[in-house]
Amino acid sequence: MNRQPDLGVTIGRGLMLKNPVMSASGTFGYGLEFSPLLDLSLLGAIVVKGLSLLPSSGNPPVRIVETPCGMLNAIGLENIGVEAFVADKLPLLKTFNTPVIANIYGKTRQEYAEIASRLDSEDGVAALEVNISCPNVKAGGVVFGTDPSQAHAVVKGVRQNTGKPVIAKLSPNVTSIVEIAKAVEDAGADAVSLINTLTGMAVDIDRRRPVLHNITGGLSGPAIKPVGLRMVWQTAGAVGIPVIGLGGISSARDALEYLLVGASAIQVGTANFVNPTACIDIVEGIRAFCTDNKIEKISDFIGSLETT
Amino acid sequence: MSYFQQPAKIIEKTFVGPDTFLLDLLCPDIAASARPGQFVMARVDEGLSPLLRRPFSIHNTIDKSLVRLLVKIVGQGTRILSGLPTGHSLSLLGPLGHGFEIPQNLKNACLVAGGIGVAPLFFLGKALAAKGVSCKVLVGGQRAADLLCIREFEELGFEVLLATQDGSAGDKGMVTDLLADILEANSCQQVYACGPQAMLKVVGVMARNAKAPCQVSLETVMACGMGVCLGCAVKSVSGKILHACKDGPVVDADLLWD
Repeated sequence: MNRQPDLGVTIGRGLMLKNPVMSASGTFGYGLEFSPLLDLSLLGAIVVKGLSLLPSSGNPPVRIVETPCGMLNAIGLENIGVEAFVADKLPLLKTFNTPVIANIYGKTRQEYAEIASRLDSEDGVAALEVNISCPNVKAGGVVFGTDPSQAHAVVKGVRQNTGKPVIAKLSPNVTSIVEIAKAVEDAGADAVSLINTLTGMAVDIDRRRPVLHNITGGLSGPAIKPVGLRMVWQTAGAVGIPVIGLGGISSARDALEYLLVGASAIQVGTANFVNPTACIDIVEGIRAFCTDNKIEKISDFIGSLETT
Repeated sequence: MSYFQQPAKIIEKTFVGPDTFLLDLLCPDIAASARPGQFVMARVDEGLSPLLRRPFSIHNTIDKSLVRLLVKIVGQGTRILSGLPTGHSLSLLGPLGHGFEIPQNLKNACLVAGGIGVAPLFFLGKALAAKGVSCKVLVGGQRAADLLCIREFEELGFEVLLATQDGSAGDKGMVTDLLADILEANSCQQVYACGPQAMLKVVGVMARNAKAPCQVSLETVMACGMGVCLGCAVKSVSGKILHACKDGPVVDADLLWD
């Protein structure tokens, strides 16, 4: 009889996941929306919608548009705020026996630090993912994610205010993502996650108007997978901390591609909209792949790409 | 709130116009719990393009096992759907959203449909008929071929009034002109409307001026249908953002327009 493959991975500072599959921030709400459709305890981790200190209403509509094999969004980080999350969502969310990772963002370095400090005392939060890569807000977000010294400063501020694992979520809208990754590693990040969306645009030639109210938006979905793979491969070869890969993952094979190039874990984003059970379908697919290929531990497969 | 994702087999497809068809889908969990005004998200293709599901109002449910959609071909997704054969299964997510509210002791109501906006109103009409609510149904469109479900509403015992912009059926003009007469006669306790955004706004403002409560069913672009993508934002009068998928698709017109 075959033993079940070991899908467990560790993401820095002792954050152990039962499998390498997480939901990506902004595509999985606060997790509970999916509980009618799947067993949340089967996920490696749940990364919730980006939280700010105060509730935020986001951008005016139109906010999304479908593109070939993808979509553009300019939601603008609409969220209920950190206090409402702690009071209304976390108590139930933490009963699912799956680590909850809070994605956080601020308009200033101080705001990032303040949210980190606020969540540090919440035992239901397993780690913080620091969003320095949202392309759709005027202040904060990607402003911090495209400059190595700014990225360093934000992550350092968060690091100094929490004992929890810190993951920096990086933007692909840079010349060298490796440079940013090294900067946040130096600032004390325990892991990096990449890629956030690629800046893009859609226009209507009949109305001669941009489709999105924000004019530009972030491209996600299968269309961006090759970009994500390349950046994860480059980054995993250049930093000493674990890399969490995302960008266009909608099947177990996509996930395995990211693991192969060096991602220690992966996140599923836009696919959750199309197939709400995508995360657990991917866990099952990875398990089946390991069984079929006699891979005893997924950690043996991670980063095993041969390029020569 | 409870919703399901299940494969739905196409039991029957019937064209009711050159670009409009009825689709009967076998999906008992969704059919049994659906309420008027709710919708489903259909995955018309398992491939990567088109990537996203498409939202469709529930037009009717039959024997708690079939969900009936009334679909107009408007783009790539609906065109693919129109070509799927009987027996094919597609993934359906639903029932989703906040549907129509039927106030206690409602005696009479007016249903206003613009074009394919008639889709959710028939399911509502059936519920209203079952409660003994007397309804007038106003159906409008560009031309006679756009007017749908007339016979079905008549079979519910409702009075059906028609308007077309080219005058090829009913009154020549807008469906909202018909509503003006009804509101003036003060003969309607509740207005329900679905159709193009511009029509809904006119209906909403007219109803407000006549002090008649009005519920409108909104159509927006959306990716998930279950409140997580936040793409279906609609700005309310107060500035508060509403999400068509969860706060709607049916909302009080007063929330949207002064």
